[in-house]
Amino acid sequence: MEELFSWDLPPEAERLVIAGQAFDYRREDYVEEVERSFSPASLLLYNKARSEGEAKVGERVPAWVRLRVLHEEREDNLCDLLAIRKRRAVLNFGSLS
Amino acid sequence: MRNFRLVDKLCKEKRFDHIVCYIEEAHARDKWSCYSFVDFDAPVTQEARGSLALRLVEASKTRPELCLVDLVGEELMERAFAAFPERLYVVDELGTVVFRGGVGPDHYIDGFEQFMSTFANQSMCKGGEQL
Repeated sequence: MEELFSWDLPPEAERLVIAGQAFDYRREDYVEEVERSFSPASLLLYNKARSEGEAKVGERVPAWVRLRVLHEEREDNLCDLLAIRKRRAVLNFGSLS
Repeated sequence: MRNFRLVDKLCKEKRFDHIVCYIEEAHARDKWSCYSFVDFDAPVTQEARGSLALRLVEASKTRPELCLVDLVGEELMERAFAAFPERLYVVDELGTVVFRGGVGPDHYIDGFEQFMSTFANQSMCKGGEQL
């Protein structure tokens, strides 16, 4: 395992690896996963994908979420935005890749 | 983006607003590069991130009611919803979360279709994570 993690990791990524949070080395596909994600930056992103958010089923959307509405030169608060619209909505988080 | 059309279709059928939330590119060239078609680095300005959000909507060939973009340097949507790289949430008219999908891409769509087909008969359902 030490050999796999011999590249120069930033301190925060190193801690994640040591804590076993970035990758679960008990998984059968552990080595494959490490090889596929072979950079400190990707380690950090991989860990981010496994993080926990504050938004929970049965609870209101967190009140502190500010954002930008596309095509509009203004920032808004997600709670306020949803309250004004008064519509059921699907929040679809995605990316091009 | 694989299932954007399905999500959009279900939103239109069930009369939900489809709100695209653009937080961060999963495989930007300078971060976690995996695909040759990704010819851009992670944006460092709000304008650049907005351009990618627009590109996402156009490429998906869907018609969302709204597109929201996370603030560069703050990433509050991403943190609140643990949304990286892909994720689905459903909120009711009061802004209460009634469904939370699994972490994408592998579990992005899990439970969503079933939820959308049964939601009309229930005030609240538990979602992909079966909370």
